[in-house]
Amino acid sequence: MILDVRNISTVFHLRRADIHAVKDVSFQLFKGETLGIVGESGSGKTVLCQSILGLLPKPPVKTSGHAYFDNTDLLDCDSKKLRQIRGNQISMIFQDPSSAFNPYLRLSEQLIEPLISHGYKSRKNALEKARIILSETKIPQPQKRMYQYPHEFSGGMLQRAMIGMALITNPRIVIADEPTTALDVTVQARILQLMKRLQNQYSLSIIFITHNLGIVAGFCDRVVVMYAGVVLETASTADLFNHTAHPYTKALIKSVPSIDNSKDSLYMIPGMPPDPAARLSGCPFEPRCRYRTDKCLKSENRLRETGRNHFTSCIRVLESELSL
Amino acid sequence: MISTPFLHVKNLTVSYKKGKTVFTAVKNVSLTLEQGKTLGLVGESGCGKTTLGRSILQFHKNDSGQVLLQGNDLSAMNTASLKRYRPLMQMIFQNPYRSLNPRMTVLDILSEPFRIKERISQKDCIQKVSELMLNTGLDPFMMRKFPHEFSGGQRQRIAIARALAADPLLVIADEPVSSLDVSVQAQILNLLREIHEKMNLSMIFISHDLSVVRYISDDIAVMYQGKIVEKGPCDRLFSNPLHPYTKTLLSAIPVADPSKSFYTKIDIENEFNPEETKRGCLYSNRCPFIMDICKEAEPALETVDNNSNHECACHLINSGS
Amino acid sequence: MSEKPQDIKAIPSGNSLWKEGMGRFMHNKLAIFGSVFLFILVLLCVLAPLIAPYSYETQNLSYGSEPPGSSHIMGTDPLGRDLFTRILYGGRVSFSVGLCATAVSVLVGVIWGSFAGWFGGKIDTIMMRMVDIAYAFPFTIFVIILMVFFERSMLLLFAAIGAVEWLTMARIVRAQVMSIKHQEFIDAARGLGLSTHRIIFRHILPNITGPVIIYSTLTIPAVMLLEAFLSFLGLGVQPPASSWGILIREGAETMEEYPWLLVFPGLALSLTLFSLNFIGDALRDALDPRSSRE
Repeated sequence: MILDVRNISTVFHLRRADIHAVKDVSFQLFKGETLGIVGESGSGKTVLCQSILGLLPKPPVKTSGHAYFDNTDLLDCDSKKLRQIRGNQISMIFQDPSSAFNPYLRLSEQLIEPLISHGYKSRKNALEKARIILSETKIPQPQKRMYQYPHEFSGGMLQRAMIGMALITNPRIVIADEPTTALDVTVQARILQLMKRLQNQYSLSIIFITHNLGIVAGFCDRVVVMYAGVVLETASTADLFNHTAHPYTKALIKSVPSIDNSKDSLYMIPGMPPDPAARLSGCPFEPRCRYRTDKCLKSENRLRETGRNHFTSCIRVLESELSL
Repeated sequence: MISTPFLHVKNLTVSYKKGKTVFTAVKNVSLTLEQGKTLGLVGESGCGKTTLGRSILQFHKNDSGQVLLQGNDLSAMNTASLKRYRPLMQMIFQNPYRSLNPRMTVLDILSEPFRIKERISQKDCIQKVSELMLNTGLDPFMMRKFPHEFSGGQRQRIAIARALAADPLLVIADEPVSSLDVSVQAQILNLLREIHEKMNLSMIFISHDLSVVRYISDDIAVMYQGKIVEKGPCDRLFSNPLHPYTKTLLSAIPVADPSKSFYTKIDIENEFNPEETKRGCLYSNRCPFIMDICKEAEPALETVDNNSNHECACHLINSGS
Repeated sequence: MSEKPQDIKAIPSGNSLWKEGMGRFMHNKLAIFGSVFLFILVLLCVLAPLIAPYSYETQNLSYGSEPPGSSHIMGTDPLGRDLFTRILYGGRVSFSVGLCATAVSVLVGVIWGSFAGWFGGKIDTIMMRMVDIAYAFPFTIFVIILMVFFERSMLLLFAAIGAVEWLTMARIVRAQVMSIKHQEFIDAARGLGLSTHRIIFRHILPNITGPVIIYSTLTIPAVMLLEAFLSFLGLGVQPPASSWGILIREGAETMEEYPWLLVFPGLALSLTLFSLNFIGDALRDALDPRSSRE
């Protein structure tokens, strides 16, 4: 186990209301594995990862819980120690490659920045390392292109460069926040393929945040399904798709458009996610769930095991009233 | 006598200046769209699909060719006569955060299309807007709220309602669901389909994702670097894709099934290269089935099957081998 | 959900960006303090004829250069005129110069800038080159020439200052219009067949009011300073009428013997400038669309 996240809760204390963005979330990440965190926008998946890395501004945001990385609790580190880990041992890949780079600096300068800031002395060696990592990400003519500016690259190429920048310090964990959402399907497929190859090569652990279960199916080993700040189901990818144990997961799977299904039945989840400022008891998905009963709101929303390493919070599945 | 199609795009070429270089985004494209049908326009970003959509609506002036709406050439019209045709063609944009005026209430946004046509009492106006909002799945009691008080999916519904408020004959939807979550995407697609069927609209649906287009289109045109490389009825294109590029697009779609890993099917690392493809087929530097002729001559869009109007621009197909 | 509202009164109204921005403005203590202070000061100046204890031009040499005391709370000048009264009357001039010249600059700047920004291309190039040329022209010389060729009057002062201040406004408005012009809701408006002036007035101008208001609140103090500067040079308002600039000039001449003649007008001007700047900064924070996210 490389990262052990326990009972993380994140609250935004805003002027109008307190917003509970993440509520009591726990998960583990193992070496060399890809963990998918799936949810719609507003489900708290991005906030969860930002909380773990201490990237949220402290006064309005309050995070509680633990995140053990190598026996150090990331939530209990001072900012200096956290900076040493962030970008060095744990790095991030963002959604929009065109805004993640500084347009006024050559790519080479930005690529070596994590190296220099983590105590790498030789600039020449750092540049050589940048060139190697760019050729690993299959950017053609890396020697020439690394000295170009971000606007001279296409979106797909920039995303490759960002992956290179994330890997240049040899991190052990990469957190990828919707890395392909802004890209074309063809480019997306190629980026995922590249990430898979580099993961094997560098024996990386990846946390992959996405809203599309279609990507999860082909890319992740294990999945955490989040909704309104809580985890509804967690399982291995195969179990999640073959023995789905939460109506929300089922609905998400069915709403992925595909080219195999019948053309006439595009499934949609009715309604909208709950207001983040509202405090809810019971299952948060209840208002949109087609299988809801009276007890869904009465019982506590808690993950329990339904199969080996397969957890769900759906009370009806747990009590074997429902099979999906 | 040949009947005039509802929309006929004839040999349209569109270019624009990017600094000092002139970039041709749409190259000699021809299309027809019948009344009440939907055409899906598919391709990667930068392939010219958005420019084509915008120049049909005359947001961009075309260099050559014609855009005929019910036989009237829009590209030859002056501003004044174009103004009369404008409301007949509406656009739905990709980014619902940028396509609604942040300073106007939903009521103002949705009533503007008919307010410019005629004077209307406030009561009738509220009635009409309520109707539009109900039809697009919005709560009419929200009409005095501002766009930033709605979620992304709801804003896209407002944008659709605005397009419908003008009573259009043709709607061009430019990636209307690609910035939305998968679950919301399904809601919006179903809404568009429902409206399309109910109002007998003609629609052009632009997207980079074939799986999305499939739910809504009668015909599909696949674009690559400003040209149409394959065109045909939706079912036919999915059951029997011919052009290697169409096949690539199809294989790139994520499937919600862990036993089918989609990303291993693609083994093309190249991007489009204008230098390498100067003379021959524009796709030649990426094509896994490249032949000698592909580097020499550009394939023309030819009918493959007379019964189904399936057309393809590929030497591999057109030479009959 | 399926019912329709019949009457506009039955529909709850939403919070416009404007309203939300004002909510944020109200949380800025400095800005509230500045607004209250300004309001009181402006009120006093406006009501000067009613509340002023003396006349602003009546000289009484036997009471010359009195320090602040019970009969003259801010003292008198060497000619025996009550300083408090003169500050109130001077404030009338300073505020009206500030407001009128700013109004001129907003009017000209918004029209010029939005035309240049909307039409773009050659029109834009020509219009903005003219702005550049006007920018390059030394301001003081410009005013001196004006003052020499025309008879000195308040109107001329407004025109001279407004003619300079609109340049920056035009640039700001042009940049804003250019960025809004490319937003998709403008395309949508064009697609509805809206006329150009309707697009500009209904879709573009409401979206640039924020920056325009912010910049205007910062222009008013700049204009008041310019007026003070011109009056200081003797190019502005003529005696016996006074403005804060004139009072400060007179005070500066006798600074060593009668410091209150400099301190009180100086305080009035600088507190006003502070208040306007606080308000301007608070408005920028409140109306900036980026801060309305989240």
